[in-house]
Amino acid sequence: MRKDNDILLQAKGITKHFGGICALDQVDLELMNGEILGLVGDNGAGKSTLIKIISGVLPKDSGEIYFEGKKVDIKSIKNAKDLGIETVYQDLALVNTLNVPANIFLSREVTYDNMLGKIFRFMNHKKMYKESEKLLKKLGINIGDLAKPMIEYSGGQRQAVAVSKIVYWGKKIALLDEPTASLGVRESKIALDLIKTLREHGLSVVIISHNLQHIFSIVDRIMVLRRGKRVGVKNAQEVEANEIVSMITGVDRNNVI
Amino acid sequence: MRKINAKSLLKKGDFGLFIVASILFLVLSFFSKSFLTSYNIFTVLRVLSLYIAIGLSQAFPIAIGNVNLSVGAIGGLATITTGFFLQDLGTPGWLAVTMALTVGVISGALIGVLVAKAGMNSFVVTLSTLFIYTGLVLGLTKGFSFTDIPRSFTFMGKESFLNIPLLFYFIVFVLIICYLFFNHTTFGRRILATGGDIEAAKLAGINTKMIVFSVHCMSGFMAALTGILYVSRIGTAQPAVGSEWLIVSFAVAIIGGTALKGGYISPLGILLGGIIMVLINNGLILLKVSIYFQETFFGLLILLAISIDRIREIHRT
Repeated sequence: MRKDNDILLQAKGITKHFGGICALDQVDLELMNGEILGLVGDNGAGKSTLIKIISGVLPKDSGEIYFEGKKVDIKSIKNAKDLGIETVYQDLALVNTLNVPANIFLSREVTYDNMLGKIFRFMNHKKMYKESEKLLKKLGINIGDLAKPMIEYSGGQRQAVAVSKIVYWGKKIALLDEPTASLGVRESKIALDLIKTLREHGLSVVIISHNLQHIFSIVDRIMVLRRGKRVGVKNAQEVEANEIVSMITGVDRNNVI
Repeated sequence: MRKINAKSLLKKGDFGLFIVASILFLVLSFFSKSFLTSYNIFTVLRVLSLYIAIGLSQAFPIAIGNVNLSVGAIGGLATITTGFFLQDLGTPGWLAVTMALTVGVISGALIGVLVAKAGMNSFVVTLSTLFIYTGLVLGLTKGFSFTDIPRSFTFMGKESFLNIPLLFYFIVFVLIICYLFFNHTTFGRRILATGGDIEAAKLAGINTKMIVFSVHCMSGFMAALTGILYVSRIGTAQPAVGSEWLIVSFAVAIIGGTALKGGYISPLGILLGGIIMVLINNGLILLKVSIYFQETFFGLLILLAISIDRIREIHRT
């Protein structure tokens, strides 16, 4: 029986339409403090839409969101970030022409403390480079010279940078949309290990993935969406993969929560 | 720590431009007796300054993946505004300059609003403003120039210091400001982020609408500055002035390394691109190639520059 003050984020009755299509229909989500929640479902189930609503990218049509027990209105990406919600999107949202520190500090650049910084907003390149180096070192990520444009790094390295952004800026919640989608076996393992350490840095995590093997390797609970509706939530330890598959595809053999 | 040496200062693309500019310079010096005369160099530097100014006005929108087809027309509006205030109203130079720059910013702002807020394509919008502004220039002046410009106004445009035109010092100053702006300020970086990947920039929380609007205002400002400098340079304000500038603006911006898909601008590259353009133009004149073919050469140059841009793009990925 979970106590109410264990619930970090609670979404109730989230509904979203795109024109005539119902992407989300009265969906509830609870994220417990310090847990890793897996969000699974087939294509078009509404997983990305739900994440985008929580991260402030899309507005919801109806429903309520409670953060640390208080009702909140997440109207913009900034709102979500102010609450401590950081997101890694499917395409990583990294700017290819900028380098690693520039991407880690994008829109939150470090400026000089003096006149140059305060009036002209001159960026402190050295500080951002050093901070980025420290951050990646702390996470055990080694990608060499950080001053190359983002496009020159491999898929796994880019993913590592995107996840490290979360560690640096994320205060409470990390939302990850298909973090291993474009990664090979070895890179996926590195990414998943990184994601596991997010918890050690005080973050609660929601992770979307098609890969149930990856999901089962790191999450505490699994929430299943199907065609915009929540089918159920299960403890990862107490459920088998093929049960989750049947929840995803619609052959319900268990009770719907 | 990032290595700062001669190589990174002249990044790969700029270095190539430097080589080309140097070769052109050597070829012209060798083949033409009149090239290295102080009069020719002086003239060349003054033309170069205006080429760079109009090149910048196009480079800004290109850096965010847009274009401004009306830079010449805005330059024309600024030119006649300057002429009007100096000749018809007799106002002091600084007021004429301020008004002309304001006209430029407003012209750019109109484009900015339609592109940023109404989400219209910059090509289509600036194609329209090209005609709108050109029509205004010709309609308001009925084709007549302002010839009664006070001599003092041509100080910047005609004078020199140590044999180098003041115009050139001024434009180098502008280029330095641009370099500091794009490489060292948060706003400049956010412009490059918006140009590099507008969706990623939005997701990072950057107000891309405001960025796009601002960049078009900046483009209008630079185009107007070009018009004002032009009045200072020749001493009259002619209404037909803007039409040739459009092709020059693209040539200088693209040869100067401004990536067509956005996200990159190099003030040094634009300086070198301007030098290449002006040397080729000067070379054609000295070799007595008919001036009517000038546009063909410019067009070929732009094609060459686009091909180089494409090669750079493939090399980048």
